[in-house]
This record gives sequence, structure tokens and C-alpha cells, in this order.
Amino acid sequence: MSRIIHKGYFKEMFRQLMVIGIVSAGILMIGNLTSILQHLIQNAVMLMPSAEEMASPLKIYVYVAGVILTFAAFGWLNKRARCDFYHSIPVSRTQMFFSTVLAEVCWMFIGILAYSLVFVIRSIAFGAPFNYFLFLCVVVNMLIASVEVTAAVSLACAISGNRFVNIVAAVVILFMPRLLLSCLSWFSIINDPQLVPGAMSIFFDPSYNIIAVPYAFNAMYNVPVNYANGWAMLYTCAYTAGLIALGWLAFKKRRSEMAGQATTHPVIQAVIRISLGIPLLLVVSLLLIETEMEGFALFIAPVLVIISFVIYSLYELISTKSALKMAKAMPLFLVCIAVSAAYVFLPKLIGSGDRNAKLTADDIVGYTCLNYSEGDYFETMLLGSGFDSTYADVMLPEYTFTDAQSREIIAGAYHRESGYPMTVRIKRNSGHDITRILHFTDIEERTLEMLRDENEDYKAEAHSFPKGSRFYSCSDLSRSSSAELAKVFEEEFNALSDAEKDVITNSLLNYEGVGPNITLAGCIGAKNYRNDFDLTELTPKSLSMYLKKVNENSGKKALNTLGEIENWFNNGGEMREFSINISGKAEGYINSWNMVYSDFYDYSTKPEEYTKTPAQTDPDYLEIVSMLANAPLTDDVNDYVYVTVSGDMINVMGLLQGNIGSADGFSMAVKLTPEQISELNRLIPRLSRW
Amino acid sequence: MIKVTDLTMKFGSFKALDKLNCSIPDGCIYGMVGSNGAGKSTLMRLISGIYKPNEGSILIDGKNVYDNVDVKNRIVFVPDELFFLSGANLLRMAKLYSNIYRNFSYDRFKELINVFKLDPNKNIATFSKGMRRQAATILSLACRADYILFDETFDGLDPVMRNLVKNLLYDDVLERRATAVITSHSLRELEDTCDQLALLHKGGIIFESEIDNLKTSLFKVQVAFGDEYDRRKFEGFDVLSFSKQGSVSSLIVRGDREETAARINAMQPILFEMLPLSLEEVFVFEMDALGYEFSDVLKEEVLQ
Repeated sequence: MSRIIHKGYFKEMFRQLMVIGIVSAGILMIGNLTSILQHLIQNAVMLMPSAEEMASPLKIYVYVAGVILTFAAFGWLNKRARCDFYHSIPVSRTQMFFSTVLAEVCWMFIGILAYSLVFVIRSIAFGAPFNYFLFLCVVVNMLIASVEVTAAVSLACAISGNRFVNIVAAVVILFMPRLLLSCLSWFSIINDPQLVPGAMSIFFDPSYNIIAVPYAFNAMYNVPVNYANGWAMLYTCAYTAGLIALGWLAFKKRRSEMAGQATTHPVIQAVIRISLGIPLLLVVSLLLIETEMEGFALFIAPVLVIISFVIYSLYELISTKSALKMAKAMPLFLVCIAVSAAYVFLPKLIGSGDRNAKLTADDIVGYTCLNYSEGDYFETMLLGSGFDSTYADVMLPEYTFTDAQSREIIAGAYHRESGYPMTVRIKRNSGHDITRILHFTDIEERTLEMLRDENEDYKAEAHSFPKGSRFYSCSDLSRSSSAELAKVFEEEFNALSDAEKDVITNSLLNYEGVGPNITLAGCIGAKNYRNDFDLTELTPKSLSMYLKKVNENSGKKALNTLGEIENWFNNGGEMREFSINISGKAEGYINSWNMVYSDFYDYSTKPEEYTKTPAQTDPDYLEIVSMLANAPLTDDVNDYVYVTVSGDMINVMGLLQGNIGSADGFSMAVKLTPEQISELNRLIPRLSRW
Repeated sequence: MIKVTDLTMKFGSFKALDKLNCSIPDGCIYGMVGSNGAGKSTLMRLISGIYKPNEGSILIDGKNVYDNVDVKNRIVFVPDELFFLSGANLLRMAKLYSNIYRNFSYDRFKELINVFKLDPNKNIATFSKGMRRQAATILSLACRADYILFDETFDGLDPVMRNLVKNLLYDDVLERRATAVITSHSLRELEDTCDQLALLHKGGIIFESEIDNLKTSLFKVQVAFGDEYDRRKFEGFDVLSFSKQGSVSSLIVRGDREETAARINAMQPILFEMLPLSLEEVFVFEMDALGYEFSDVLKEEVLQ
């Protein structure tokens, strides 16, 4: 070990990087602390954090801190005097390289782990649901990514000798290999739209390189990171090990006298230069593949070639400060053109095997439907890592359908180029699964859907009560009350028919969270889900319990708040905005309304009216407020109106000055007479101005 | 012992050192002199393991220097362009050296701080050029290395400090049997410091000798005889230079001083005087003997 790590030198480098390490970790913490403060001030309920919420600050940190720490640690390589000093001391090149990388990585780890610790403590302290496994995956990914960034930038420093080339080389090393691979897969898909990039090869799957994914390729494939993919982690580890090995070799071979020079070898200089010339030429390749080279394409292609040539030449000029060297380098621009030409033809070769392949129903064991609507393959693979996934989203994509009719349809759709697109994983008799985007006719698509719904196992899974680690919350109840309520709800839910289950199960997209409801957040492995269920007369015990608990918790506060608003309406005062959500189950009342009152709205639209008291301006509002403020509380599941009142005090600019009641408002269930219900139905549609 | 064999170092197409050979024995102060571009700094960087030679070898006690931690632990190098961590004071630099050099001695460091009277808490960036060199000297001597390499050692030091550094070097050489290798543009600077001197020119050592030897083996003879004579009269002597004015001739002779005097006395001169040569004169004649034009090898600044 001492042959690789020099203890004293490691201590020295660790110390030299201390300021940057602490400052960058401190900046990383600001996000955490801001979030804690926000929750403390607003007393808000913390939701289950998504993978991206966990990872986003770390991704920025890994890049920024990784680059800055490495440039600081290896900055001496660019200065002759400093280089001579470090190379004269009794530390071998191997020890020097690995001790430095270790010191950088230690600081990165300290930042990441400190952030992670605070993140977990924050979530526990606020009683938020938390997917520990997913968080562990995110942290492990970020630790690997931090080593990868460090390794890549260290390699860049080892092969270059001034800051400009350090930066350019780092960018090339970090992104160029993945850009080339991703473009190859992208262009292949254009040639053969049935191919799925993530399923072609791990080399074509952008999610297989953690640091290259978040920014560079998100736009190309809309690829979020699959943090729970163990193979991707291993791939990144292997890739990182390769970068470290290359960095070490380059550092070991590097001559001290190269400090200040562009690169340590003319071949490296040529590779970097060519790498810079290629990206824009790939756009030309894309134009050649996708268009007939007419009109705009015909104009833009030569422009791109010229810009590419300028970038190529400018790099040589800036890095070497020699016009002669720039002139000598110019002929090699042909290599860039050759590479871009290869990108026109190579994708055709890659797709040719697939295009010629035949698939019959007998070859197919079954298929797994990876997306149901407009989501693409990557989003489907990541269902659960974000926040917009239900339990069914998480569980059902893995279900394999093996019936003969489905297999016939799949085989028939193979190689079809138009129709309803669906990403499917086809299990074949050969044992080699393939994933393709197939195009189905309307009838085929509906038939497949019907066959899926007819499948008893699938149906049971789709309507089963969410399993796994679970966490309940109801918008107006405490955690413990929610958990108590959930037990009753689960019993009632399991006793319902599938159709009834569908009625009370909210789609995340349409869910507004109005009225009594219970939210169930949980996780299956690294995948998070969240289901929102309405509490209705279909689950009477749960609803009754809910109404009772809400009235106990906040019924009086809601009535007081409404009384206070009523008083304000009559007497006037500071500017206010408030909203009252009304829903419920009462004779003659089935709608759910959101009534909004805004002084600021009135003031800005009708300033002359604002001289009057609110009651004079809007007597209808006062009527509703008075009606609700004086209604009796109830937990009768067949005759209640559920009310949530919240409001703000504002200034003439419309800015918040304080809350009326609390930030989240107060809820209650009240009983209204049929006449009051009728009056409510008459007034509220007019008052729901927003 | 430092043994340099057939050492060649190229920078691109420029050959900084060309098949250079030399031996530096332990426990001596070895001086290297030469004009700019002669290869002094390159040789120092090669000996200290900064550069890897293109050809040849540098062995210290039979072991290669380049990337050899054990050997490099016995060497400390103070380059002409000094390096200190930005914003560091002497204590911080001492921490750095102590983390890296096995034999770094804080006692010696404190002792040297007192000798040089530098403030160890003061930012080195605020030091004058001379003070920075003193700081580098303190740090290097505190490493207690067997081989101390100083490139342009006395650059920026005032005469008092030069003597102080020289004395400290003598102490290390005498007490610890350390070996010091120092380079300078100035021949006179090295004259009273070094035990051995090498003259570098165009990437090679063209002349190497012990200083005492150098000074005693070459001397000036002024002699006159009663009869007519010419250079042939001195056949059998190693005469490097001969000139005659009237009956008095001046000779530069290499050899044993007493034996030469005895032989000339035996020739019954009417005038005979033996004069010592300055190191500069020794170099002039040695270069001449080797076929070099002295002014080409050592530019004017070297003689100042």
C-alpha cells in the first residue's frame, strides 16, 4: 500500500485542499439548510423525496467540486518551478498520483456523506417518508461519480500542460466518448426506428455513465438517471478504473519539462483537436441522414463545417500560441470529416441485422409492456424513481403476457413502421430477450389492452392494495392519526370491487387533493410510489373516522377563522386574500368548489370600489362565510360539507404579509340545511373566479 | 557517491547535455560553473530526479535516482526559481517538508531560523528575494539530506549571508559528511567554497579538478638565463604557455612545484621566480590547453 499511497504526501494534499473542500461542502449544505428552514417556517409537511430531489445538488457538487479540487490539486503541473519542486521531493510518481486522487476523493466523500447525513436527519426529523434503499443507491452513485469526475479531470491534467488545455481535455474526456456512442445509437435509431437505445447495448445506453447523463444527454434522450441499476454502477466503476489507470500512466510518463506546454505528446494534442472538430460535423451527418439536403440543410451544412474548422484551428492556435503549428495541424481536419462520414454509414450497418431478422409467434414466449401511453422507454424503466408513479406504475411494467393472441400481434407488428407506438420487451425461445418499439394498429392496441385486463393475475396486481414499505398521510391529520385511519381504510379497500376501487383511486395527473382523502406513499426496492385515495361513502368507516378526527383537530379553528373573516368583512381592515374549498356529500350538493376572495384583485381591477367595506363590495362572499361560520360540525358520512379555509394578509403590491389562521388552512366537516345547500349551489359558481 | 555516466538530455531537438560523465565523491563541495545554457541546471535537475535522462545514467551509491523514493530521500534540491505554497509562512512550509522528508529535523529548523533571524510566522510572499533564498536554505538544510543541491545558491544573498550559507554548508559537510553540489555563474564565488570544480560547456564537462590541485599544479615561472635560449630549453617540462621578452621568459608550467623549482635551479638561471595563479588564470590556460577559447566557454559575467 505504501508503494501506492504516500501517507505524508496524502496528508499534505488533503491539507492543501482543505479550504476548497470545506467551502464546496458548505455550499452543498446550503440547499439542505434552506429546505430545513423552509419547513420550519412554513410548518409544512415534508413529502417523500424523489431520486432527483435527493441527487440534484449532489450532481452539481460532483461536477463543480470535482473539477475545482482536481485543478487545484494538480495545478502545479502547469508551472515549471512548482513542477520541479514536486518532482524533486521523495515521493514516487505513482504515490503522488494516487495520494492526490485519494485526497480529492476524500474531500468529495466528506461533502457527499455530510450532505447525505443531514438529508436523512432532516427527513427523519420532519417525519417524512423516506426510501432508504433509493437514497443509498443515489449516494453510492454520487460517490462513484465523484471518483469518475476526479479521475477524468486528473487524466486531463496529466496529459496537458496549461489551464486552457486542462479544461478542454477534461471536457473531451468527460463527454466525448459518450457523445460518440450516443450519436451512433441515435443515428441507428433514425435508420431503424424499432431500435431502443437503452436496449441495444450497454455502450449505447446513456444511463450507463452517471456523470455523462445528467446534463449532456438529457436533452437528446430525455434520460433521467436510473440510480438503482447495479450494472450501470459496475459499468461506471469499471470506466472510472480505466480512467484512473490511464491517468496514472500518463502522470507516470509525464516529463516535468512539459509544464506550460499544450499537451505531453503530439498525438494527444491531435486527438483533442479532432475531438473538438467532430461535434458540429455530427450535426451535418444527422442532416445527411434525416433530410434530403435541401433548403436550410443545404445552407447550414457548409456553415457548420466552416465553424467546425474554425474551432479546430483556434484550439491549436490558442493552446500552442503558434500560427505555424496551427497551419501544420490543418490537414488533419480531414480526420474529423472522415469520422462524420462514418457516422452516416455506420448506423446503417448497426441496424441492418435487426432489419433483416424475422420474428414469428412461435419464437416468442411472451412480452412485457414497458409503456402504456406516451412515455418512452427510459421513463418507463425509471417509473418509481420520480414522484409521478403509482403503485401500479411501479409493479405492472414487469408483468409478462404469454397468451397466443398477444404473441401473434407482437410478431405481426415486428418491423411495422407506423401506428400506435409501444415499447415492449420480447421474451424469445432462444432465451435472448429483445426490447423494441413496435407500432400497432388501433385494433391491435385495444386487443392487447383487453387481453391484459382479462388476465386475472395482472388485474389482481393492478387493483391490489399497495405493498412494501408504506407511509400514510392525510392532509388535515397528524401522522399517527393517519396511520390509525389507514388500517381501517385498508380493510375497507380490500373488500371493494375492482370498479369501486377504480372510483376512489385518483390519477396523479388529475388529482387536486380537495376533500377527504388519504395518501399512501411507499417504496418497492428503489422505486417510490404514491397513491391518493378519496375517502367516500364507499369506505364509510374510514370517512367517518376521518371527519371526526378533522373536526377534533381543526374544526374549532376553522370556525374561528371563518368568524374572524366574517368580522373583517363587516368592518374592513388590511388587504386580504382567502380561499375556501368546499366539497362533500349532502343532499343536493355533489360538487366541489374553490371559492376565492381577493382584495388585491378588486383593488387592481376596480380601485374606485375599494373605498367600500368588503361586505359592501361583495355581499355574496359574506353570505357564504356567515353561513359556514355558524354551521354545526358533523361526522355524518351521508350528510356533510367538507370545508377548508385558508387566507393571507397582503399589501397593496399583492405581497404576503401573514397568514389568516395557518399557511395550510384549517378544515372541518359541517352540516348545512337543504336551503343553505341550495344557496351555496347558487352563489359559489359565480364566486369561483379563479 | 554520485556517478554520472554518458548522460544525454534532449529538449525536443536541443541537446542540453551530451554524453556527460562525472563523479562526485561523498563529503565534498562540488561546484559547477558555466555560462547560460551550458547545462548546469539541467544536470542538477537530473541529479535530483526531476528529469529522466534520454540516455546514460545517474547513480547514487549505485542506485538510480529517477522516481526512486529511497534515494530521493537522501537528496534535497534548491532550484534557481524557488517554490513556496501560496500564502504560506515558514512554519507551514516546514510542515510540508516534514510530511515528505524522512529526516526533516524541527530542531535544526528552529536553529536555522534563529541563525538567519527570519520570522517563521510571516508570509513568505512578503519576503525579499534574499530572504526567500534564506528561507529555502533553512528548509533544505533542515531536511538533513546526504546530498544538498543548490542551483545558483548565492543569487540574491548579500555578502554576509553568503558567508553564513557557506559556513552552514561547511558544517554539514564536515559534521555529517554530506555532499553539496552547487552551481554558479561566478567562478570567484565558487573558488573559496568548493573542493572540486567542474566547468560545463555546451552540455558537457570540459574540465573537472580538485581546487587545491588546480591551484598548486599550475604555476607561473619567470626565468632569465645568461645565454641565448628559446622554448626548446624547457623540453621535459609540461609547459602550457611560453613567452619571452629580452632574456626574461614567462612560462605556465604544470607539475610538481618543488620538483620544477629544483630542475630550473639546476639550470642556473640568472633570474628565477615562481608565482601562484588565480583560479581564473588557471582556467584560461587549462582551456587553452584543451583547445577551447576561454572567452567562449566562460562569458564575462562568470569572471566577475
